[in-house]
This record gives sequence, C-alpha cells and structure tokens, in this order.
Amino acid sequence: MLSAAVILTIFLGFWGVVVKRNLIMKILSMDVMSTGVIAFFVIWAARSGVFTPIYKPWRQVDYADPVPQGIILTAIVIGLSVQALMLVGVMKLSRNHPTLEVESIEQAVASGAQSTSTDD
Amino acid sequence: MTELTLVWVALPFLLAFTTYLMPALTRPSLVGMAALTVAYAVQQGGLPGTTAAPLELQLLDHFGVTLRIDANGAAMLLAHGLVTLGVALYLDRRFAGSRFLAMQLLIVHGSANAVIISADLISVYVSLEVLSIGVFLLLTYGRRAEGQPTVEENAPHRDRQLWVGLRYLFMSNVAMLFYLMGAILVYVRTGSLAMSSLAMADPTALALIAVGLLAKGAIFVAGLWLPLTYVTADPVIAAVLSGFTTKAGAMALVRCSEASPVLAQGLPYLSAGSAVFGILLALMASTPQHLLAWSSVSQMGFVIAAPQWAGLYGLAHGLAKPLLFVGTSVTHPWRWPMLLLGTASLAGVPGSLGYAAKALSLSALDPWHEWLLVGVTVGTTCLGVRVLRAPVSPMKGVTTSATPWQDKVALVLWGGGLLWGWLPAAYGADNLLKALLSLGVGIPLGWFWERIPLKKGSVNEGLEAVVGGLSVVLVLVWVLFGEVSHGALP
Repeated sequence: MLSAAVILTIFLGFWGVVVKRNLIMKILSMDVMSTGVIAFFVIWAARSGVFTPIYKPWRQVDYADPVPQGIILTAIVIGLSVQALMLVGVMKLSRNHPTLEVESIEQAVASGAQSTSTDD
Repeated sequence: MTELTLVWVALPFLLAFTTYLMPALTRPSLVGMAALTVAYAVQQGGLPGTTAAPLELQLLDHFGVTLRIDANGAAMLLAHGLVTLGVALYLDRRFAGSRFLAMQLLIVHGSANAVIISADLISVYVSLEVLSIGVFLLLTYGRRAEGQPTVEENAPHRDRQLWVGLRYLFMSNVAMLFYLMGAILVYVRTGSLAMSSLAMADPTALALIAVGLLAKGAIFVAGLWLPLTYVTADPVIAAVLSGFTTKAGAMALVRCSEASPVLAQGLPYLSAGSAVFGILLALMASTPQHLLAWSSVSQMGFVIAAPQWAGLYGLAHGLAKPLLFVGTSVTHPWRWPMLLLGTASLAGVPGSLGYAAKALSLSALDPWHEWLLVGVTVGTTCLGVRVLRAPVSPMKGVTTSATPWQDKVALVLWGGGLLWGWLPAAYGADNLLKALLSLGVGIPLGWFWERIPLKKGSVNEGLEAVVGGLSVVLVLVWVLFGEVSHGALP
C-alpha cells in the first residue's frame, strides 16, 4: 500500500514534468518526483525494521538499514542544489519571458535561432 | 600508485575551490591538471596499442567506494586530458568571465574522470550529477566577450543558451532519478552497490539504471536533447561536450554491461538503434553544426557497440568532434586541415585513429550488427563530405582574419592524436575492404547529396519531447531486458 502510493507519487511527478506548461510547475513536479524517490529509499530502508540505526548494545530491536538512508541524504542535497540552480535560471529567463510558458519560450528560441542562421 | 590515483581524482576539485581564492591561478592550474591527466592516462595504458595491468581500489567495505582503472578507461582519460588541454588554451580574454569558465571546466574534468574510474553505482551517480551541474554552467556562461553588441541586443542569444542549459538540467535530473530507483532496487536484491552485483539484478532495475546512463550518454532517443544543445553552445564549449562529457555516461553504461550479462546482450540493440536513429536525422539536417550534432548521437552507438574497444572509440571520436566543431566555426586557412583530419577519422580513412577504432570494434561484433554499422559508416562518410563542401560561415562575433595560435595548438593536439592510428591488428584485408567499400559509396553520395530530391525533415526537440523520449526509452529498454533475461532473444 505504502509503496504503491510512493510509486504513484513518482509517476505523478514525472507526468507533471511532461504535461505541465509552466516552467515553475515543471520544476515543482520534478520536486514531487524526487520526493517520491526519496520516500522509495526510506521505505526500502525500513524493510528490516523501523528503529533509527544508532546502535546501542542494550537495545535488541530491528534497526532500519542505514545504507539507503545515507545514500539518499546525498541525493537530497544534490536535488536541492540542482533545483536552486534551475530556479535562478528561471528567474533570469522571466526577465524576457514573464509568463514562463514553455511553448512561448521555445518559439522565441527557435525564431532566434533562425534569425541568426540567416544573418550568417 | 594508489596514492597517486587518489590525489589525481581529488586534485581537480581542490584546485577549483582554491582558485576561487586565487583567481589568477585558474588557467595555469587547469592546464596543469589536464597535463597530469594525460600523463596518468598514458601511464595506465591509455595510448592506442599499449596495455597496462588494471588497478582496482576498494576504498571502503562492500557498500562503499570502489575504483577501477583499466586500459579501456585510460584511453578515455587520455581524451579528457587532451580535450581539456586544448579548450583550456581557448579560455582567455575573448570569453566573458573566462576564469569562472575555467574553474567550471576543472570541475567538469574532475567529475568526468571520476565517472570513468568509479566501479560502484553511487559514486557514478554523484559524479554524473556534479558533471551535469558543471556542464549547465558552461553552457549558460560560455560567451564570447568580443564582437558582442550591447547587452540588450544580445538578450535573445543569452536566453537561448539559458533555455538549452535548463533543458539539459531538467533531462539529466529526471534521468538520474530513474537511475537512483534502479540503484536501490539492485541494493535490495543483492545487498551491495558495487557494479559487480549487477549480475544478479532484475530487468526492472537494469532498465532504470540504463535509462539514466543512456540519457547522460545521449544514446538513442534519449539523445534528443543533444543537437540543439551543441548548436547553441559556443564551439569551444561544444568541443568539451562532444569531447568527453557525453562519453562519460556511455562509458559508465559499458562498465555496467561488463558485469551484467543481460545488459551486455541488450547493448547491441541499443547501439544499432542509436547509430541508425542518429544518422537518419543527420542526413536530413541542413547546417554543418546540425549535421555534426546528430552524427554525435549516431557515433555514440559505435562507442557502445563493442565494450572492449569503447575507450579507444571514445578517444577517436572525442578528438575528431572538437576539431570539427572548432573547424566549422572559423574561416582562416587552418580550417581545412582541421576539417579534413576530423572527417577522415570520423569516416574511417585508413591511417587515422578513427579507422583503427572502427575496424577493431566492428570485427568484434555479430554479423548483422557489423554490416548495419558498415552501412551507417557510409552515411557518416556522406556527412563528412557534406561538412567539407558546406559554405564557409563564421560564427557571429568571432573575428577570423588572423589565425589565433590556439587553433594551431588544437590542431596539433587533437589532429596529432588522430594520426596515432597504426595499430597492426586493425589492418586485416577484410577491415580494409570494409573501409574502402564505405568510403567508395559514401564519398560520391555526399558529393551529389544536394541533388537528391529529399524532404528536409526535423523532429520535435522541445522539452516535452526530450523528457517524454525518456519514458519511451524506459519502456523499450524494460521490454528489451525482460525479453533478454527470459532468453527470448538470441
């Protein structure tokens, strides 16, 4: 049940990246997708147990697997920095394309490419 | 040797952050780092025709970091070193913010090196992500300072670069999320993240990992992002991209396929698909830059065709493409040796490094795959002739009357590398026959191409198509690996 919800989150995020027209919405969808992937790791880490993996000799409990949790920390940090970088890029783009609609940006980019190639 | 390897891997990042404090040292340290990589690659058997014992380092326990350097990877490292060295000399005052670019190039160089030698899934993930951030910054900030009018007039070009960079970052981030899911599935199944554990992974995990690496390597439909990116970027930055950053993803895929039989059996289909897909769109393209960019997608299919020669092919292509991208953007007489050497190596004229790499790769393949790739080589030859015959059109803002000394150095470095092709093993009678056959058909075809009535086509290269292409590739690869692991395909 839980993993089905996580897979659904990842899928919805990916779907959003493909179909949403606004650039900000696309970035938000990508964030949803990466949240799904993070949850995917956390669920798999909790397969063997749910206790925080800090070893105490007097606690005989089922610890969660620390390796996926450690890996996903790296991925969270990378995802955050990539997103920050993309938002900065979007801020710069919004100066000339205030609506941030992907189609209008792509049209402008394509017409710009044509005009420079005819200039040459 | 272990210490030297560790210092060599870490040094680019250390230098990059140090040069923030001492900006004057940026270019010298970039040149020095590239020279060190060349020396290291030669020492590890990276020169064509030499070998060295592979070096394997297990830095932590079986969850942790594993490095592996073999002759295959060393050939690719040689390409990293030579391309970075050439590009470092270009990054002078003619570029706005050249020191920032040089620092980013240091980071890109270091992370590409790390991808090549990593032998576990998470090191590859981290290095590829760092690589994509560095490439994004190179793409968006790689601008000539001279000949640019005012900021206002230049805004469309700047927006175009920014958009292409954003598109690249979108694509690579989504692809790497798929890769991460694959990595955790491998870990759950086998309890290890080393690449050797891929042997026991299920097809779903392999498909997810392969999609991530295919997208980074611009192979098959996952390479839709590449052409517009190369055409928009400054030629020198396109040289970095075509020289080694896309090959990093392909080399990681090759490395994975060495461990996993399922991946190794699926790889020829991906290689053939990429070679044909790229060449068809390249033949329909119109400008030399578009031709070269689509031909890169096609050549990536050759790189992954025979895993044991992937490094050598990567080296040959990684030296030819930068030469061609720089050569098509200039108008002085040095343009001709650059273009001639580049196209000769790309088309596999005997004597060039491209010929040796192609002959060795093709002779290791199944017959259907081999003859398909010979057919694609005819198309590549045709493209080469078309690039040579294309009218000289300088890039906007590049002064071209005098020959910059960097062009001469680049010709010596990259073109000289391409002449290093005298590997006796590659000069069998059947290999020579295949090369002459493809040249004999391809050259006349290229010469008369403009007279063939053909509809100029193009594909949708928008962001939706690029990301949607990933899902198509994911489904295809998943089905392919499922079939392979059930033994349905030969």
